[in-house]
Amino acid sequence: MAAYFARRLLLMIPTFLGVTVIVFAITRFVPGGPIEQIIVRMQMGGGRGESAGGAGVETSVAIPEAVKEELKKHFHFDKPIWRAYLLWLGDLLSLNLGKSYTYGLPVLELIAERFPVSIYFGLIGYLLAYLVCIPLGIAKAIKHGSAFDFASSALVFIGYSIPGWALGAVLLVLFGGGSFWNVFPLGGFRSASWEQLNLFEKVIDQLHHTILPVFCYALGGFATLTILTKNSLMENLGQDYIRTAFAKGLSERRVIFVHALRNSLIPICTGLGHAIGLIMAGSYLIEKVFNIDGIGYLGFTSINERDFTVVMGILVFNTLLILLGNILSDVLYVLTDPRIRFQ
Amino acid sequence: MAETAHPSTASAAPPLRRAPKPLSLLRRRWRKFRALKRGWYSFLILTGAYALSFFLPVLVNSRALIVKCDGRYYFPAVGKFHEAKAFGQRLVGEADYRKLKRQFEEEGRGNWVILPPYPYHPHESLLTDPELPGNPPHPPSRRHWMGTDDRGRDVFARLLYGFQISITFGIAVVGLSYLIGMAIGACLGYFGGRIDLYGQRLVEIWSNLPFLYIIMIIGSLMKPDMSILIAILAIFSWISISFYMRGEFYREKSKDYAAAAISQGESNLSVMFRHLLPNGLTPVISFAPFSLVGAISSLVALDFLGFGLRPPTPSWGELVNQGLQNIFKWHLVVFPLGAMFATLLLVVFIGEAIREAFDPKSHSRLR
Amino acid sequence: MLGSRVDKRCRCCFAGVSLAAWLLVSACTKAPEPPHPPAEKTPEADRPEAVPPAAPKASYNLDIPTVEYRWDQGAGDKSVPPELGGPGFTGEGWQTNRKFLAMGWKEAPKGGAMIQYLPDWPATLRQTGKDWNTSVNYLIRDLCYESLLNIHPITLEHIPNLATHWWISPDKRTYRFRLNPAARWSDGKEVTAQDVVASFKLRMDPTLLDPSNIMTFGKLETPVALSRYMVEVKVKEENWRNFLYFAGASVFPAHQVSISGTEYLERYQFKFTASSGPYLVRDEDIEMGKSITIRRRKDWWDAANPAWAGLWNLDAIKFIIVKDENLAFEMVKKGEIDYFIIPKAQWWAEELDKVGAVKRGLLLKRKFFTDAPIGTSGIAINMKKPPLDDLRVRRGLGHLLDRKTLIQKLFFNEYQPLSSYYQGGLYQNPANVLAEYDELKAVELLEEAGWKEKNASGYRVKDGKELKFTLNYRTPLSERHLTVFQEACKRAGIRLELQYLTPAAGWKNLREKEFELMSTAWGALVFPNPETSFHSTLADQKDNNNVTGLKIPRVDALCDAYDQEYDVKKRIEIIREIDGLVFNEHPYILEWYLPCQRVVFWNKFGMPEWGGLRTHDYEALFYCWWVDPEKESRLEEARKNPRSFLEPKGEVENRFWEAWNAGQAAREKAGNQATSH
Repeated sequence: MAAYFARRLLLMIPTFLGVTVIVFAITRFVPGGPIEQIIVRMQMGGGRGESAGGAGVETSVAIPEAVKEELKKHFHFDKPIWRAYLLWLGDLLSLNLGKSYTYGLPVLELIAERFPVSIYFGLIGYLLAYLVCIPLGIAKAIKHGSAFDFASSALVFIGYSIPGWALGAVLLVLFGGGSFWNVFPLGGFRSASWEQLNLFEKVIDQLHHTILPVFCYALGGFATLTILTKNSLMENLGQDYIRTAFAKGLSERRVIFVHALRNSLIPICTGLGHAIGLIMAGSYLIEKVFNIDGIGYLGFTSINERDFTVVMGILVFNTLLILLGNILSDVLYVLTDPRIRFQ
Repeated sequence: MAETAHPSTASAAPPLRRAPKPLSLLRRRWRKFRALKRGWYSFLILTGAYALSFFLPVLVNSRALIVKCDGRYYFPAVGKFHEAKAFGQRLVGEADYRKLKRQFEEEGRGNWVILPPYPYHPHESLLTDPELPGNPPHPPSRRHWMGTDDRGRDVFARLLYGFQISITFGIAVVGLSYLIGMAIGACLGYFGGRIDLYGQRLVEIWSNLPFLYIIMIIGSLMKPDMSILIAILAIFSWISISFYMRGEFYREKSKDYAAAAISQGESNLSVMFRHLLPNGLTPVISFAPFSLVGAISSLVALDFLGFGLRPPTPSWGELVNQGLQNIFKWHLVVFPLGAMFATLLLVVFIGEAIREAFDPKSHSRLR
Repeated sequence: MLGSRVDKRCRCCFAGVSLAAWLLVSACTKAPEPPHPPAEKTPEADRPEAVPPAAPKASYNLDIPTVEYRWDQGAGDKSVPPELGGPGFTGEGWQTNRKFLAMGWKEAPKGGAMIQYLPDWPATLRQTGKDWNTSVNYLIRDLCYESLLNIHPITLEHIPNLATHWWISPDKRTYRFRLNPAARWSDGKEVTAQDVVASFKLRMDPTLLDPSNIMTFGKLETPVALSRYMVEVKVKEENWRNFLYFAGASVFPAHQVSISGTEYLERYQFKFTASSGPYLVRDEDIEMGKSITIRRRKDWWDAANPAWAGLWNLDAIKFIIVKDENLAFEMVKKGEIDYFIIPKAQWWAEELDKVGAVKRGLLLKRKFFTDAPIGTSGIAINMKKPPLDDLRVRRGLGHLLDRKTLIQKLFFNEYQPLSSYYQGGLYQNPANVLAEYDELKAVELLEEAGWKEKNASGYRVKDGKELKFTLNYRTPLSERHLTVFQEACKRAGIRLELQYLTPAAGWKNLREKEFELMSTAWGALVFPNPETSFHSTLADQKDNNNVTGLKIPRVDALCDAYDQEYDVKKRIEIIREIDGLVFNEHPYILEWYLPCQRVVFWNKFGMPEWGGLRTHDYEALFYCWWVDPEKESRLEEARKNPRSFLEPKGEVENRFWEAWNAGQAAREKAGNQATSH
């Protein structure tokens, strides 16, 4: 098995190259590339720049060729695509992801700043989802068809049909103190006065800022996870070995929690591995609504603004995490189900 | 493993029934499905509503069903376009049948108009309607059961037309993506070895491509219509199901009945589809309802970003989006989300019933 | 500084690209619920449709005091002879402007802070080069940096800034500026002519990746420092705008910017050079991604000049980043943001009046009717794509946009229909007649153009071809009124397909004239520049602002005459004629505009009677505001007690400048009569 996983690890390389080559190629051909972005930004004036204001100076006449050339050179768009890719790959091997087209800052720095934020919300969100959903799924499986089953289904489906960020927007209005009750802060990761707080206040402040966004992060996942747990457990409860276990006179509790549960967790484990990538992905809209500087927001804006070095940087991280997650999934498979053998 | 329940054992038994076996299996499942009341009623409601939605043009429409004008009969709802001038209306373009009805009633010359039961079209902005004073969105009223949207279009009409579009869209996406995902996942899991290794690489590459990019490129190169959107969404959403299928097939293949079937010399296809698939369907059945709603939600997201179905198509995505834009107009939030929630619940109940019907064991729960 | 903002603020910004921007002028997403309880509404919201500029309710004291610009004649390096600007320079034969209208209230107390919000962290905080032109950078330029001359924001005449005097040669091809020897950088160094030269050289460096600089300043030769205090620049072709731009360009310290463009981009991405203006951004005031604070300098070199009395009173202006507009609005209600521009008509008309702080007078609603230039929003028609080359078809389309109903129903009568490409100011042609919504007229025009037949779906056909257009838009928000337009088109027999494009892709198509109809919004200039939008030489080229392919020979001649014309009155006449000619050619289906600056702020600020200066918009209104310590303490008290009210709330509308303009016109008329008698 060790050989299998060693090979899997090695096989990450071609996958990784494949992904980066394709996306790199897309960045070359997607309309409205960085040069056009610069021109647009130059011509429109940013931010709140309004119809009444804001543009640069004379941009009426065509952009001079010399400047266009300079722009192309700046973004390595003057080189053939394969050379540009190799250059990028070479930089990557020396852990240099280049500089953001938009901010002019090292991509690694931009990602590193936001990574802990995304991991923080992602992990807590997942933990919360697992803590709620597995017990709930078990309870639903045991009481299948009861009123409890029905009501809890309805609840998780309501959660599933409401987009998390929309709920976030409503919660912020209700509990943010602007319109109704002043219970929670209006978004942000921490208070502006974070540095002046002592440790205890820091913990409280952090929690205070965490509750609403985490709830919204986790909400959408509740339904799938709960139903998966329930269905999986129910299937196992119908298996012969359960009947055997009962026939041996084991208690219901023991049968469910020791025998059936272990097997029902297999599909959930697969999810756990894949979830690693998702934790990192964050959510653009939730981060926007709660004014949090996370990977999701960075990723979306970088695609929108064609900040390709950042796009590629996030892609590198995401791909590696997803690939490792897939391997982890397989490891978990083996650990939970000894019958599975990978050759 | 459950010998008695497995179809392969049934096939080994002497044929007692004359009907071809697969049909009998299906029929058994169908019978069981019908016996599960909650799922069965959900199924009836959903399919009924979907079937009914094809008659929307005669139920919910601003075009009249029948117009009798000066001894001639017209059928605008199902027939062709009629100029307002044809009925003596001093208007541009198509006749306004609601106005025409009032006009004929006032004239009392024996002309009449029969309007559909709910006489509003989902594309109509009722901004100049004298019966709707104030600014849109209007709250629900007797005429507009679910109020109007941000530009005065009837929400009820849009919701109904949108139901048909969304369900069609959802089913198409889920169907297509599951077909792809199950096929690929099953192959990888069943054959394993080299096919699995290389296949997994390709799947991984595919799954890492940023979906938004592709949509943006396609959006800027062509005008995406419904079938293109379905195709794009399907080819990007089969991946997770293929992972689960692969896992299930790995697991099932290691079980004895699979080994038995293989040793009996059954073909790979036969083992995969007749033996392993029915036992590996749990994730498919569990996730299908969510995928359906997921597809509808993706449409919401695409509409939000401007890449969805083109306006003025009454898609649910557009409606939900309006609710989110006007979060304090309760009717714009509650009705579309409620409709999505109700549809999801029905689909999940159906899913549960199918799962149970497919479950070969008669007692899939304790007590 | 002050003036440079006004003149460098350029037209043809493309607000359709920035979502937030677009909101204010043309689209508003939120719409209202019907039967409003009239009792709860403010008078403005209840105004009848299409309000004509009403007579001012309040009476204003229209006498703005005059101030004097002071400079020390004896200052400077003794080794520089007086004729080269050294001590003893008299300014004889030179132009200057020493007496002008006051811009602030001279008793205004200094101090206090104002918190505003930005929707995004700016790509850079540099003052030039790639991506620099964001709204916050314009503000920083106004407040922290100075240019040779200012434009007076009321009278639009040149006033001194870094330069005390200026000179234009008789052939109008050489400009000279004499710097104030007292001018100092924030690091204590003297501002000299070398700084002007170095700033120019930096701007012309192509590695700065900012082509607009090169296009603007490429019409000038490299300036020459005649002495420490005197700089000369020659222009390649005569054009009054060259003077405007050169005099208005902010000056950077030579000792920091005498580097290559690449190095400048690298070094000053999020770091400031020394600056010479009344405000400063210190390194510790930049919190990456979170906030930026602009602080008033106590040691500004020209702080004591009575010309600037009452301006720049706030000690700190802090911008916090709030990604979501709705969240920002909640923060305004909670008091975490002090000053906010209301982007949606529905918020103004419905939401704000429900807010407790507004009811209690803690948060004030204000509309300032200034003369800030008004942008043009509308649907651009590509005349190169038949049948849009047919004037009758374009006019027909124009008659199908029901502006009145849309403004009334969707935008609460907050906006007014555009009837000019230079709306609202002196440049507007008063003879333009708005194409009113008239479907019958539209049909008549289309039939005249040969589109008589209709197919089975009710669309017009000619020679077997359906009358069909694609309308592109770049913000999902504009879809709201475009679908209404689509319906009207359908009734008239035109198949209109709506297609969303990403801002960048849409912009590219627009500039390359690869569209049929496209929703656009252009910014406006204090000093219009018609050539770039309407000159026929651009009609057949790509990548310019004449996106509709407009070709009118008379307009070309007028554009050329305009560039040579130094007399503002004659320029106004020229633009009016151009406006009329273009308007009647219908290159756009014009939409609507917001005739005022619509803001809310917490009730702690004091301001002169005029609210904000005449040509300033919401981004600059507060330059003459101050924090009133008494109001601030009352506000603090009121916030603690949720039942208290702050009275009086004052007039919502400030129409000082309308009254002032009327007064000016009357005075001018009286003056004319006096001379003619």
